[in-house]
Amino acid sequence: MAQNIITQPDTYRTRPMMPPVLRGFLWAAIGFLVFNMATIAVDPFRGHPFVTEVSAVIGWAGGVIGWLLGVGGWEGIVLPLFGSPSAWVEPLDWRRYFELSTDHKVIGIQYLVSASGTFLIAGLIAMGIRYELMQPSLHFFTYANQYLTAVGIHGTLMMFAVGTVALIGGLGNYFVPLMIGAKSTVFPRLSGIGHWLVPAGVLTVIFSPLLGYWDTGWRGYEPLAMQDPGGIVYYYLGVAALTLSSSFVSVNLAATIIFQRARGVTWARLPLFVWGTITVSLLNLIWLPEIQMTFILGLLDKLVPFNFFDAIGSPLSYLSLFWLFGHPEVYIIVVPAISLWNEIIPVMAQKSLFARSWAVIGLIFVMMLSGLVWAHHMFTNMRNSEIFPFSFFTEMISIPTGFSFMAAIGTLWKSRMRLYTPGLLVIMSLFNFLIGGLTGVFLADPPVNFQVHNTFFVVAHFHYTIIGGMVFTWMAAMYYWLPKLSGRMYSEFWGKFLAIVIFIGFNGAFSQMFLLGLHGMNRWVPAYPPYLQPMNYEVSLFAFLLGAGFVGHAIHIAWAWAKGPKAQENPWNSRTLEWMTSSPPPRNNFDGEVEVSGSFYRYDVDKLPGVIHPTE
Amino acid sequence: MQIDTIDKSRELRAYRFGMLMFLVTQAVPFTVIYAVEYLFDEFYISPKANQWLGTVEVLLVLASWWLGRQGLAAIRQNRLLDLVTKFRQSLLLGTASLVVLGYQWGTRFVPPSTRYGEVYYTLTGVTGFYTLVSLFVLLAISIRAAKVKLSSDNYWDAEATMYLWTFGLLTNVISYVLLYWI
Amino acid sequence: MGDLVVFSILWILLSLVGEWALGLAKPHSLYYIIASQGYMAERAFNFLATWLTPVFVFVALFLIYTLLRFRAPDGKPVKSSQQKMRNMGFTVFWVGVSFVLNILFFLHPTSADLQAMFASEIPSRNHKDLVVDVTARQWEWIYTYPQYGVKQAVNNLGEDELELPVGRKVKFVLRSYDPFHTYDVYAGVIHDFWIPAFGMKEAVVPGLTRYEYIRPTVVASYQTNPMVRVQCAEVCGPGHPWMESPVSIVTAGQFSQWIKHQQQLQAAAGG
Repeated sequence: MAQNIITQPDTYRTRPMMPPVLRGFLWAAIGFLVFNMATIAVDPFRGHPFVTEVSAVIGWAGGVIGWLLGVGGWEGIVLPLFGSPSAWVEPLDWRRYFELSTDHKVIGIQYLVSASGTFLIAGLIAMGIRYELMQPSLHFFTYANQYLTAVGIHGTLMMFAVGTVALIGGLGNYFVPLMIGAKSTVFPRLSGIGHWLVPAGVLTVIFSPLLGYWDTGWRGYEPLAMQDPGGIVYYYLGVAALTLSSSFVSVNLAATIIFQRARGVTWARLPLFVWGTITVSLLNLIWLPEIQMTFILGLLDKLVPFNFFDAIGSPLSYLSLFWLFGHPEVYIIVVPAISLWNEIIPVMAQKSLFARSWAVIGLIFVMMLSGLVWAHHMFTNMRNSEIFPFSFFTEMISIPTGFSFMAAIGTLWKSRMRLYTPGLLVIMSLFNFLIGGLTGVFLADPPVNFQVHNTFFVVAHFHYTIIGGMVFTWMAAMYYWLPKLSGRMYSEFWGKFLAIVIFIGFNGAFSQMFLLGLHGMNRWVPAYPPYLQPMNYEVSLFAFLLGAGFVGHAIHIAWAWAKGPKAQENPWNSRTLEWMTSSPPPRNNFDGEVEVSGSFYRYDVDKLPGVIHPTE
Repeated sequence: MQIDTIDKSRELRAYRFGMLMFLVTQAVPFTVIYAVEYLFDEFYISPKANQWLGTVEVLLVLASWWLGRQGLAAIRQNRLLDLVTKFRQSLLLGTASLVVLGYQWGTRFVPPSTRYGEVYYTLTGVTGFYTLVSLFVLLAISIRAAKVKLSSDNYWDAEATMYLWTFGLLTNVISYVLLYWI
Repeated sequence: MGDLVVFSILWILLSLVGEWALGLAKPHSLYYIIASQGYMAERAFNFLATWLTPVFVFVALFLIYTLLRFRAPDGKPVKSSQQKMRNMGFTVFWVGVSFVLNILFFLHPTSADLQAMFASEIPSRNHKDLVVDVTARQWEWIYTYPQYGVKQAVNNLGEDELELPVGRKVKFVLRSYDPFHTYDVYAGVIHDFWIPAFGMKEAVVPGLTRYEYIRPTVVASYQTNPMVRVQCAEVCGPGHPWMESPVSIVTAGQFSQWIKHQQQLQAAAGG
């Protein structure tokens, strides 16, 4: 379709229109009302309220369609699909961030902003959770379901709108085409519309309590979910929108990586972050549709109701279907991060990457094994006789994960590591992920697992891998690429100071959670036996420090983005392609054809790997 | 000029690959419901299932797909008008298959409260949704083809439509076999 | 070479210190364990911790070593003097150790312990077990002693209570349904039967029956240690945090007295 775009006159709009985001909200409201009333019209039973669970689902579909059309889908996608000339012209000023875009850099920034905003919202909810847990009884939330809903929204947003999105939708969209020397992506409008599903999904999840508190947490375990009030419906739908967004990005980026590489960017030379992106894209493409279908089955169980996953169906099938996706999901979040370590370390150390092929093989094997370990989340749920293979693969998956450590350690050995903020944050991330990984070995052993499963030990382990592994690396990458994103530099003092703050806050909070778990603190409880209170109190204090640190980072990055001192063209002296163009890069990325003739990670040679042949 | 041709063909390969990849991922949800079908029904077929209507429905899809194929063959030989006609005929037959499905749903031959019923409505519902999307695309492209003048050099839109509709045919046939035969 | 020697010596020394500190913590690593299955978990935990300590020290020390020894004194982008991209020795060491450790962990403790667990569940070895039927409903644990005709064990306050004789093997039969609403198929959800001091939990899944075999070894109760309690560990709705009940492990004599008391209560109630 793309080759048939009708060229536009170079003006902003051929006729005036509402700001797209406002129009999106308006059309979403109209879409909801129309679909909702259409449902009521065919409802054979009179006397239902204006919004029922069923009409809320159908109405939601109308709302999302209205929203996507409103932000630009109507002019940008639907009209061209029917062959009509489109009046859609992308502006060049700030307004391009608030509508459908086809520029992968604009889309990347849109994703980054959405993910960061969601991170702060879901983090605020976490602060509420920690405040509640400072006392052993309900004192902040009024009802236990409020607490459980808060836990569920925190988890859902962090997993689907931050972890899955920030590194692939955000940094991936922005940097992958630059790093392979491409001028655009293969399906720019797919990623473009994909971004606008993120706010839709986030708002759906945030406002789910309007339909009633749901208390399953982010896993939506059946049959509890079938009993829940309507809020659980918007959990399913919000996740559907968010996962759809990530699938779109994955199709686009995978096709781009395979077909749009510049001359000389062979598979053997592909940057590590690009390897991370393509492995994760494959994981996304396999497992996100899987969970979408599972949630549709859950939705039918709730609405009709069917009996797939209740006592006369098979609750364990839901658990298996959920974790079949759920375990790859944590690798979807972490694999881009561990590939970023080895992207940043060689640059900061100005040393050739050690054992690059092992690092790549590690990523690929993690991807393949991640689909074979799901049942280790169910050791206490399943028959004991079925545990063996899952325990085996779970223990084995630590081997390829270790390859990334090996490459990082080999590179750092006898290097000349410049401890700027990105380098420092990567080292912190290595440390955190080490603890996350080693505690995973304990969890992989069934007898230990029987004791610590469903306790704060698991909560701590999980946050060590995700915050410690992914979020710290995300921060590192933000500081590393800030000069490229904005052309400006951050304050080294504040960057380092805030990095140390979050390191202390994070380790102080979550290391004690291991002990809480061992001491008998189970999950999903706003009230607990009083003997656990002192340590919970301390954990909360550290958690508040961590929250403040993240807010500090957000303010600092926003300040540097807008007002920071001008950065040099290639401040880190990196060799990858994204630094060969101006900062921020022009609309078509490179002023000419990129050709690559050397390795991006060889710091023992002076000749840069890439050249740009200017177009006449 | 030569570079342009290379870029064009690479772009086309990228589109084909991307579309194929998208369809492969869309096979995943179907795998899930097929697994659920097997889990709950194994090889049971309800005697209440209407074999005639089920067969008519899948035959309509098959005929519709066949017409779509002919439309694609036509544009390869630069016969734009035939493409539009065949796609519209295809759309008509596809819609007819959905009408047959709607009739089966409306009359509830299969009671929804049974195990077979749960699987029946889930499977036909999901298949029907994908069919609906394919038909929407058939409609859109049959209109677009005439407006942007597809030709034998430029017919990816029609090809993509048939990728999607072939996927629709496969899901319809497999669902039919699972629901009515095994 | 100098760095390698210094690092290796530091690694060995700090690992020894780590093992010494771990040795002090080992008896309490799972805080308070008083049952057979729990000892197994504790041994496995300590075994893994013993072998993982040098791994942790290796990487953590390396990162600190990097911060101190391999840092650039200034921010200038000067190429590192060493640019080695391959080192067969280190690669073989790293990959080899991770393989060996993981295979070891799979054989012991994982396989060995699971084997022991399966052996303890063979019916012929469990003739004389005390059978306790545990019914989980939203939100209550109900304990039935079918061998003694006790339908619902309660304490003086009428709360559900689990009492077990010390040293005798117990077979828990775990089911999730609501005995007061048996007509409602949607009433059962997944619960998780957990006694922290026993070092063991087992999910209670509606529609399935699960078994758990365990032998308490120490006289204790919720009053002596709060870990001696039944706690639901799987989120099961708003009542989840309070789905707990006290546990008492008593001598055989006290247990038979308690059973008599329960039978009398039941008779008095007309059951």
